[in-house]
Amino acid sequence: MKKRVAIIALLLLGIALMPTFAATPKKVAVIIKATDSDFWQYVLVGATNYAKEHPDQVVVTTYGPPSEADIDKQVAILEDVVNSKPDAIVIASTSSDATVPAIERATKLGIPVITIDNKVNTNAVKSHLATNNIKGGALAADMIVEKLKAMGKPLSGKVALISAMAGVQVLTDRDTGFLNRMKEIAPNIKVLPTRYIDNDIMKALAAAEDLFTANPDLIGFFADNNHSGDGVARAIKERNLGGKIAAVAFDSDPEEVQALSDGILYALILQDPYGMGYKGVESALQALAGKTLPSYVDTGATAVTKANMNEPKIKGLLDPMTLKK
Amino acid sequence: MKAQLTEIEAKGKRKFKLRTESTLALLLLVLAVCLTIFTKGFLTGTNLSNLVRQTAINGIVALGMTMVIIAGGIDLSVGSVVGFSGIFAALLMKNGVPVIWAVLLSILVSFIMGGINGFMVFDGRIPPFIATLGSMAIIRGAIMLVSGARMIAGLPKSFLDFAQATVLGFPSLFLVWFFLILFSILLTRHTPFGRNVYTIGSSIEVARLSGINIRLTTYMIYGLSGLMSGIAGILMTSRLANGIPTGGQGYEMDAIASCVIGGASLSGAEGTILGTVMGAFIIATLRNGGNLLGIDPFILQIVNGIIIVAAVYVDQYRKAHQK
Repeated sequence: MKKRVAIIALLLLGIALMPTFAATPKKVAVIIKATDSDFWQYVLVGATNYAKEHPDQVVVTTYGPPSEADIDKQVAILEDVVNSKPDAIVIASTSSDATVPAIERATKLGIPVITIDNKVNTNAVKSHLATNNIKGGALAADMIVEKLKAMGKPLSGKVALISAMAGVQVLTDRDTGFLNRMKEIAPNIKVLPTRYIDNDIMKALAAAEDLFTANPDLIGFFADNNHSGDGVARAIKERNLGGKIAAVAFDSDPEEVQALSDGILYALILQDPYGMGYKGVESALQALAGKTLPSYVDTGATAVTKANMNEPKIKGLLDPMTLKK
Repeated sequence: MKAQLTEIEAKGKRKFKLRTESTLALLLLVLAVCLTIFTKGFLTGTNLSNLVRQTAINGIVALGMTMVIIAGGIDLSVGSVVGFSGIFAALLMKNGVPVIWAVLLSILVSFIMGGINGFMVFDGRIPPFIATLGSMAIIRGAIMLVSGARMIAGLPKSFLDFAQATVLGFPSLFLVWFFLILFSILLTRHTPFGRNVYTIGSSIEVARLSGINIRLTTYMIYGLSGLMSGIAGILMTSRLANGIPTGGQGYEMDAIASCVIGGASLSGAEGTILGTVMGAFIIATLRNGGNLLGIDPFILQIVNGIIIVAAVYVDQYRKAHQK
């Protein structure tokens, strides 16, 4: 009896290990928008972690231009990657159009392409994984109203909107989602004209200061990425208005997390860049295995406040570097 | 009688001759008056204190840039140096180096980086635009490398308090800028070095014939630009409480615009520190006023561009008609 169990167990082990010995790991190239920001580093951590967890299935190589302004450089990188013939490509394309020819060429060569974060205007993509930024912006509006209610303030007055940059689709989506939801749930609140800050914290700080000066009756702030959030947090801190302003910002970096725990920012809206990288590579492998993938996967947006920021799952969202293997 | 009259007329006209600085002061005054009338908050202590703090960082970078431009050069690496000195100081402090040493060391490294620009320009005969374009990329890359493209937080409180401090009601950022302005004015107007800068900008041949040590002067000019950017980077880091890898990106453009609005000529030998200071103020006041009034940011950007071009045009026109 014991012998038989042992034999069956060995057999099962053998079957389980068979694909491991049989298949060589697939080469997946991950291309990010820019190497100069925490957000994209988090994507890379997710992607490389997947590879470290499954060393027998996949080897991940990472690429990216220095800055999000370098659209042409990213296109060049993609072209070079396609020429190097990896098994699959995961790309966060900065432009929705510029990378289309190279992506279509990859597909023709039989290299499946998964896009993350930004949608690309072609059908040649196997699957698209991204945050629904319109929903994320709406979530920010919900959090501002939640804070105002908690403070016992009436839902009327002025709220400022600081955007990192004009003409970037994900930011426009966040702002639109925010404005629409605000109109819906707090029609008496006036959202001031958007200020753009060239993704420079100093400019965000200056803009927030000026908005305070011009509008003494300001009750809330929405900053649509981490750098704009940092500037807003600093302006609130310098004026000692922490807790008295309903301020909500997107993304996370050390300064934002500090402001959240100090009660200067009420909430952070977090995307899941780690998940994008991780699931991106996973989807690439599934595509290689011949599975049909959903054309769009919402990687979700989560609102984090001081109350839930220490939960283990949220901690991983706040600083995916803690997940690095 | 008639001759006398024309002479008097001429004298009168001479009195009306506007120097660049006076034109700019007038423009600034008009801006300030308009903003005082049309906004509630412009002429308040808080806003003016904000305004000078918002201007200080760019203002300091522009001081070094002015000297480079007067000498007929250009320094595109200033933004990267701002970022580097901030990150470098933050890293040193995080690793237990005392605040004062971290600050001095970062400024020294910035000075040396500038000096290397000077070396490339003089000894390498690389055009300043190219040399500093290269160092802009090299230094930014170095920042990303040492910081892993991540912010550096958790800096000592004594360092962070500096940017928040005020002396007799003046923000510390402004005071540092103010002393650097005085230093730069003294340097450019009352020292042999300052005269040499103008001479080199006017004609390198004349400079050589008059026995100026062009090599050393070039090192010093670019070194000073690095030094100023280094100081600006330290102040920015203190103000933002973090070492920011992207800090200072694009600052070369604001600095160059300040110099040019202030009457500096990219063909060299022209420009003053005071003009640049006003140029910096004009740029900052426009931004500040735009925010206060809630002006469409895209229109503001267009106006900014128009002012740069218009300022130079008016200056050229004025000079042509005074000769």
